Amino acid sequence: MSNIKEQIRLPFSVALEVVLQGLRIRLGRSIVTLTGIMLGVAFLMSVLTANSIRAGVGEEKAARQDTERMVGFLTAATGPLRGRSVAVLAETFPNDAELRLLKAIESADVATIRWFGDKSTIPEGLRPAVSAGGAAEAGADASGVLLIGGFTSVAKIQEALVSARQPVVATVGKLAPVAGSRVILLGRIPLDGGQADAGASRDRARSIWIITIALLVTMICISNSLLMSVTERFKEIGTMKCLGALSSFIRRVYFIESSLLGILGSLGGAVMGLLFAVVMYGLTYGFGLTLVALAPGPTAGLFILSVTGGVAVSILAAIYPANFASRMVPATALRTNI
Amino acid sequence: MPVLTSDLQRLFAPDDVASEPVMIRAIDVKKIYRSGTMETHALRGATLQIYRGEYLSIMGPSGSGKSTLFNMIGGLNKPTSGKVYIDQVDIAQLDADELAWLRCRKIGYIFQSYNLIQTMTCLENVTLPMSFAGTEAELARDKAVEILELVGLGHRVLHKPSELSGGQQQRVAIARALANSPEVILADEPTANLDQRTGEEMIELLADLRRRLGVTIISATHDLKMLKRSDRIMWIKDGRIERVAPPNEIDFSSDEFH
Repeated sequence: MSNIKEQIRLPFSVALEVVLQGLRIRLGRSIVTLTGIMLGVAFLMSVLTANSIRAGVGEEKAARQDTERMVGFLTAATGPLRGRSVAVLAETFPNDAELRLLKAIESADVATIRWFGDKSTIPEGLRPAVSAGGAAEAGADASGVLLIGGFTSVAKIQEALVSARQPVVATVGKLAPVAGSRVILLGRIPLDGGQADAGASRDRARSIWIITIALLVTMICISNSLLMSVTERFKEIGTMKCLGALSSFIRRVYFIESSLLGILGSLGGAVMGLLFAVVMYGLTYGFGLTLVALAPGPTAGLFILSVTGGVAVSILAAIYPANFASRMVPATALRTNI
Repeated sequence: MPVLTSDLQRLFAPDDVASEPVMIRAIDVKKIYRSGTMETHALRGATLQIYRGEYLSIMGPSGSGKSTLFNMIGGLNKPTSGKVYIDQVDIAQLDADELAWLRCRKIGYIFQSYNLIQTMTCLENVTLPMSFAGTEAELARDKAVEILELVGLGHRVLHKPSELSGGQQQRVAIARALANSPEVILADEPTANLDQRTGEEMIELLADLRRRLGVTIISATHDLKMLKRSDRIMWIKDGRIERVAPPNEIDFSSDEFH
C-alpha cells in the first residue's frame, strides 16, 4: 500500500509540471524576474571579472617592464644584441621571467642562441641552435652567457667563457662571482608590498559591499515576484490543498520555480557580465592585453562562483514566499476571489 | 511526528466499524475567528451526525456559519472547541500532513466555481489528486479516463477547462472529486453557477453516483431541486443548527425558499 512517504516523493514530476505551466502562463512576469536575476548576476560577474582583469593587466604590465629592464641591463654589458650570438646554459625549464627575457632577446634580432642543456629545457616557440659539443661550443663566439634555472656549475661556465667574445655572465637568479668574468644579476630585489596590499584590501572591501547590495536587491526582486505569484495562485493553491497536496508539495513548487529561474538567470547573467567586463576593459587596455590578463582557470572559478551565488540567492529568496504559500489554510484560499 | 500510514489506515477503515452507520460526528463544535481584539463567533455549538451513504443538504443565510461548519466537517479547518470525528477519527488530533492525507483519500470536494486548474487538461485535473495520493501515473491515467467516462466526458479528456461549458467543467470537478474513491463528497453550492437545466443534470449525476458508488454527499445549497432530492435538510442560523428534517416534512412553498 502507498504511504505518506510515497505521497511526498512521487509528486516531484507533478510539481515540476505545475511550475512549468505556471511559468508559461505568466511568461511576461517570469521574464521580468529572469531579467532581474540576470542583471544581478551580470553585475556580480562583471565586478569580479573586472577586478581579475585589472590585477592581471597590472601584473602583465609589470612583467613586461621588468623584461625591458633586464634586456636593458644585459645590453649595457654586451652592447646591442642585433647580430650577436648568445649562449644559454640551462639547468631546468625557464621560469616565467626567464622565458620573457629569452623571447625578448630572440626578438632583438640576435644571430644565434646556442643552447646547452637537456632538450626538455627548451621552451616551445623558441628555436635555438642546440649545442652538441658541450658548454664550450655553446659559448663559442658568444657575446654573453645566460644562465637559466639556477645554473651553478662554475666549471661549465668557465668552459663556455673560454671561446666567448665577451666574458659576460647574466642570470635572473643568484650567482657568486666567477673569476675572469663580469657577472650581471638581472633579478630584482622585491619591493615592500605593504602599500599595494592596503590598496588592494580597500578595493576588495568596496567590491564586497557593492556585490552584497546588488545581490540583496536581486533577492528582494525575486521574493517580490514570487509573492505576487503566490497571491495570483491563492485559489489554485487552496484547491490543491483541498485535493490533498501536502504543505511540502506547495513549498516545493516555489523552490523549483525559483531554482529554475535562478539557474537560467545566473547562467545568462554570468555570460553577460563576463562579456561586458571584457569589452569594457578591451576598449580601455586593448583586447590583446585584456585577454592575456584573463587567465582561463580563475575566470572559470569566478563564473562558477557567480552562478552558484545567483542560484543560492534565488533559493534564499523563495523561503518566505514558499512558507507563506504552504501555511495557507485551504478554506481561506477558497474564499479569495481572484 | 506523523502517524504511520498503517495506523492511519487502521484508524480509517477498521474492520469492526466498517458497518458503523455514522460517517461524520460533530459534538458541540464552536469556532471563533479573532482579528485583533474583535471576536467573531461563527459557530456557537453545533452537534450533528451524518450517516454513511446519506445525502445531506445544509441551508442557511450568508454569515450563518454554514461555510464554517462545512469546512469543519470537510477537514479544511479545525474547531476552536468541541470535537469533529470523520470516520471515528478526531480531526483535532491530526497534524497538517495527516489532514492532507484525510482530504486526499476520504473526501472529495466540489466547488461553486469549479476550481479546476486552468493550465491543465481535464485528464490532468483528474489525475492530480491521485498523484497526491501516490498512485502510479499509468494507473491514475486509466482510472481518470474511466471516471471521466462515468461523468459523461469520455470524449473531452484532453481539453482544457476553458474550452468547456460550465456544466462540463462541473462534471470534470465531480470526476476529480471522485478520483481517490472518497467516502464523502462535499459540494459547496455546486449548481449556483449553472443554468436551470445543467443544474438539474448535475443533481441527477450526483444522485446517480451516490446510488452506484454509495458515497455520502454533503452539500451546501439553496437549490430547491437539490433540497428535494436530499435525505435530510439542515438549517443553520447564527452559528447554531436550527432544524434538521427530511424533505417530505417541509413545506417548500413557504417564504424562506423564495
